[in-house]
Amino acid sequence: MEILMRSILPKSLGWLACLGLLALLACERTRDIDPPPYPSLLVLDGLIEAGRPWEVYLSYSQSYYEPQETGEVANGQVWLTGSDGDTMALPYAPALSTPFNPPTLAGYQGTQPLPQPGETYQIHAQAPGLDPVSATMTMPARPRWQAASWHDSVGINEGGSWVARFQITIIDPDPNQRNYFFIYAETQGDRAASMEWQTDDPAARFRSRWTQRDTTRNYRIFQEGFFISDEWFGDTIRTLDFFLPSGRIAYLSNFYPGWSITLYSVNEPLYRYFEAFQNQQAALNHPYTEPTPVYSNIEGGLGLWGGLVKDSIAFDW
Amino acid sequence: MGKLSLSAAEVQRIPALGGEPDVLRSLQLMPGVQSSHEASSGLLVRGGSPDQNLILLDGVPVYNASHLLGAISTFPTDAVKQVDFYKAAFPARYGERLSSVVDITLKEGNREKLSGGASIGLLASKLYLEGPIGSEKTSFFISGRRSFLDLFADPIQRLRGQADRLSYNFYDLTAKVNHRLSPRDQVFFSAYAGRDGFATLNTRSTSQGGLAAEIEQRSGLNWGNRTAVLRWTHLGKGAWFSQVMLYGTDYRFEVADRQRRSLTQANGAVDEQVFQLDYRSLLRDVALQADLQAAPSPRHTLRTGAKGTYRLFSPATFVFDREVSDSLLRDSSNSLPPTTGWEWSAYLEDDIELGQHWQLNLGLRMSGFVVREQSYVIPQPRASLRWQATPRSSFQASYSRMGQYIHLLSNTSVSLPIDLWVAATDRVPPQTGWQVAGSYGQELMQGWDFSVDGYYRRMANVISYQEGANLLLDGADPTVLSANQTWESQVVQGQGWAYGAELLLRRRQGDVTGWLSYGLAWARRQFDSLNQGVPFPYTYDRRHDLSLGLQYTWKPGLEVGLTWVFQSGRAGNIPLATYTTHPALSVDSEELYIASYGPRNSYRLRPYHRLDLSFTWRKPKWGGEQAFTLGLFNAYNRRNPFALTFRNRPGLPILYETSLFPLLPIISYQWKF
Repeated sequence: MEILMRSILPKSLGWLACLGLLALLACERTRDIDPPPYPSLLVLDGLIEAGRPWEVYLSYSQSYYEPQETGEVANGQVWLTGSDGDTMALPYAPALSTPFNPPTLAGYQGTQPLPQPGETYQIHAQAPGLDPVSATMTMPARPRWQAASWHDSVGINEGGSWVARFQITIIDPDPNQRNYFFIYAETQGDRAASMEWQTDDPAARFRSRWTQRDTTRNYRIFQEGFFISDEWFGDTIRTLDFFLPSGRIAYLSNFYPGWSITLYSVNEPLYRYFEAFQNQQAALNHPYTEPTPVYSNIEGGLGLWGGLVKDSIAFDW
Repeated sequence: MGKLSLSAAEVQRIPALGGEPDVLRSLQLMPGVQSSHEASSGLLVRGGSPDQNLILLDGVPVYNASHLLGAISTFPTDAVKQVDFYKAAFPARYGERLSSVVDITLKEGNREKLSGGASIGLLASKLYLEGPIGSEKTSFFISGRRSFLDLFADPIQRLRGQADRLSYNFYDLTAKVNHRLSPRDQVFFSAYAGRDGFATLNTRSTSQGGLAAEIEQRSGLNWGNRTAVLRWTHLGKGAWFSQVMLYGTDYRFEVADRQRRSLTQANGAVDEQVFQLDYRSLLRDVALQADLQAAPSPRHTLRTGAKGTYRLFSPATFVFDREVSDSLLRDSSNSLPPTTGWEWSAYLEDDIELGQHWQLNLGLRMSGFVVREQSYVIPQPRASLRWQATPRSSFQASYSRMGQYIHLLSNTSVSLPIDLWVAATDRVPPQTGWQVAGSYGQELMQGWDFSVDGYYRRMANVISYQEGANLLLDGADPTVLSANQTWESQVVQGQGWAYGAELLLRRRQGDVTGWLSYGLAWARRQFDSLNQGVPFPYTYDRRHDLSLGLQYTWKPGLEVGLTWVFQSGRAGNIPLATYTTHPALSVDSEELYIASYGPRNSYRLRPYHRLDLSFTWRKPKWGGEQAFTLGLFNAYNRRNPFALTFRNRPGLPILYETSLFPLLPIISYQWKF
């Protein structure tokens, strides 16, 4: 080794300068990275409400780093199987391709039999050029909540403004398994408005936006609400406090005849999808957060096959 | 087996960043040991995470052993006498961490004469002094080190009239006093204090209509360790040895943001307001330890001992102050409740030679932790067996079980001084792990030796942030902390396992010395709530890890050092695809897109490789010896991947790779007497 080293190393330090020059010549520049190839996957989005028509959307994933195509999935097929084993095809519904929806979504719709609480449904979808997908979910049970009462006694919150408090009592439908809910308040009337209420209760795990399309009048309703997890109930019943600035109520009561509270039971896939989406949106461009994949229960593809059951209580001002 | 010893002289011959020889960076060159990134002196051992290494300075744990955001370790090499490193076959006297033990012994001081040295380098300048105090019964060692980057950078930035100025410096002080009470009794006291300070200063001023306004914004990040230990050792009659040790150690960091606003009226009246927001974190241990060692026969050594540690964790405190009439008043203070706990441990270790060829080390370590009315106990059996097959070859096998009652909350992509040390709690149980390892060692001719190791290990209750968790606990309003914003609600626990093989070829004698090491490794993690429960590669799952180190004494007074390292790229996450959300999440005609990452840690960064060269000239000077080192760090200017970020072009993101260290000169001058 010593002999080898002596033969390799020259006797003078001149080689050091050569090496330095070589090193400088070898400079690399910071570079863009070629993203890895990613095959396009079929995306199935089904957010099924008990008692309402089946609505399912198909689209496809695209490279994150390439210009986005805007065409919708062509010649797709969707069919589902209920707990009784009966299979129903959902036909393509051009009416669902409204300007309100992203152009890549192709809608499929069915009416009979309507989805029911507690039932399990399996869905299959396929489209030319994409791998077929499937998913299974169980609709949640109908929510049980003892009452929603508006306490018109008001107090002052820490910020110094007047608030009105609402108390919502929810009964855990099955203490042996995890149960989830979504709750929001809105005004009554033709053009419902979200009441944007607040809560500090840790059972309200995260706030989320919820958009519904009114099929009869073809406009969309945006609701701000809270997803609730019964992991924080500690018992079978939980009473949550919500509050709203009094001035907001005074303003709304000038235009709307009343208000209502809507509570959904939602199943776990739906809850996890919304939670992960919320986290991913919050993490965008934030250096101190972990990467947040969005949950999907679609085998062979992406998207959501989730269910919910609705109940509402209306109040006059 | 599993143990590696390095002397300060060996460390100093390895080419180092900025000409600053570094103990922990030297260990990163050994098989089975990796760094998280090129600016990190932290250790990743056999698939473990950075918090799983027990770094002892004269027996005292040091929690964040790095300066310069991790680029160099906190231990000045001049102060180090010996480094013992264990990555398997842990003797029962060591515990508290799952992956490795780095036991650093400080110099005790020259008992015969006063000696010392000074050095100047690109990153820091150092001074050390050692010698007797009075008689030969007492000696001392003291060293200090400071970076001078701020002294050079600040005037330059002022001259250039920069509105935004940066400042950085670090220092450390190490001291040890050693007193011989009697031929059989000795007392040591050693202390260490180190601090890093990083600050940005921004000044803006405007004037209009006779009014002049100035806003000065100063943001800073400070972090540092302090340790102190008092140790008494006694050599009993026969072959008994005992020691009692009392120590304290703490690690703290502070993020401070201070804003001064002044408004000068036309008549000269000045209205000034100051606001200050601090974010502080503290970890502190106080411990009492006693050890006893006995050798009933030359072939048989027994060790036993016990230790009690009081731990204080104050992971996050926000303080908001405002200045009124020249006095700074506490406006509000909010903190996560501090966690305190008691950790205890006791061990019994038996080292015995069985005949001419067999050596057995058996041990049992029991440890426990009491926190929030929750009590944990972890039995940790240890065993290693060595068979000396021939005078020059040996086989070894070992089993170790380990327990760890602390966690480090760290981002998966980069390790920072603001990573939070937190205690195991009733909601987040302690980490446990076990390892089986085997080794074959062979001494070759002319100072060469060769070893091959294999291992398999499992870890339970390792932690990770939940997907989407915020490392600063809450980004919306830092002055409001509520029960559902504690770190415990942001983490998930899972399991990990790692296995691999390691080769090491070394030469320790002759004009040319050095090593060639290679590690082939797999490291995996599994969390029920991450990656849909499917196991995934650990962030630092690097398949290949190769390093070559050569030190060549070219001629008397001239030494050449060369190091080349190669590591497979680490695993990470990048968005691979995108798709539209369900219409229930979109607003008006605005489309919302979901980023699809694919399986967790499925993307691999490019491999890391780097060549370092150094030349050291030594010659007598002023009654001592001077050494001048010149070299190149990253000699062929490899732009190694540090992190992936995005750069936006119209409508589309571009994946963009950032690098840290280009080709850098190594320059240092040292004089010792």
